[in-house]
Amino acid sequence: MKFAEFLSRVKTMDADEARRWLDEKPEGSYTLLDVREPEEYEEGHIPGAVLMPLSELPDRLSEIDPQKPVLTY
Amino acid sequence: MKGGIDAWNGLVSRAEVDQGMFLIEGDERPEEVIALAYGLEAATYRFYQDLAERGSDRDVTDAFRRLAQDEIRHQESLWEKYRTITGDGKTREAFEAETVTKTLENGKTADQILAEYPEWIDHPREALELAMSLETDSLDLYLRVAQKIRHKEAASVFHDLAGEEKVHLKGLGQVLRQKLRSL
Repeated sequence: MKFAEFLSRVKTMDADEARRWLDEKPEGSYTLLDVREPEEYEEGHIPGAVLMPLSELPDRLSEIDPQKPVLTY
Repeated sequence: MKGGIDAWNGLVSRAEVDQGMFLIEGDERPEEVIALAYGLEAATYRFYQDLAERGSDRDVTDAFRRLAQDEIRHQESLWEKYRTITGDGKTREAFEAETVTKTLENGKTADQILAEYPEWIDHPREALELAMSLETDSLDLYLRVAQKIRHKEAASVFHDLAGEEKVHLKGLGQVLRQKLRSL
């Protein structure tokens, strides 16, 4: 783990870990966030991902439930 | 997630940002959400049943028939939930009359889906991929709708259905793998 990750409590997963994590979690217990642009989202996204482009993120943070873990890509 | 979507090794949905989202406002009561889900399940049942009757490959038509039966089972469970929540004496026929929709679980109509997959009928692989695409988009829609619904109990209706879609996807994946080995 990098020092910056340790400080920010952000854990990085690879795709296999992410898939296992999603499979194990009950539906509704997490937020899956797609921070790309709408055109990229429509080319293909992980099922259930909520689109919140990085450019909009600062204004839309209140839409994310702080009680749930967030998986973002 | 390291590597982003390019590293993702699972199914993806190509649903548009607002595909199917017109179905809800966000402040629906549980009974309204159940009625909506019931209508989506009924439309998807009719679609799978139709595909099962028109398809030419036995393994594929069997898979569609099983999916159609599952949609009926989901409808039964939604109807029971509706009766428990409302406690009213509405008949099943009256309830169904209010839930009629042409929209399938993935937020599209049957015609839209078949226009995207015109070759499915004579090709088992394409037929199974069509079903997997439909189930993936359904999973996507149910999870995103659940996220938008503010009432916790109402959202759980769609979370439960999303769990069922995951089971369908696993089953379809197994049939597809068997089919690919025999082609």
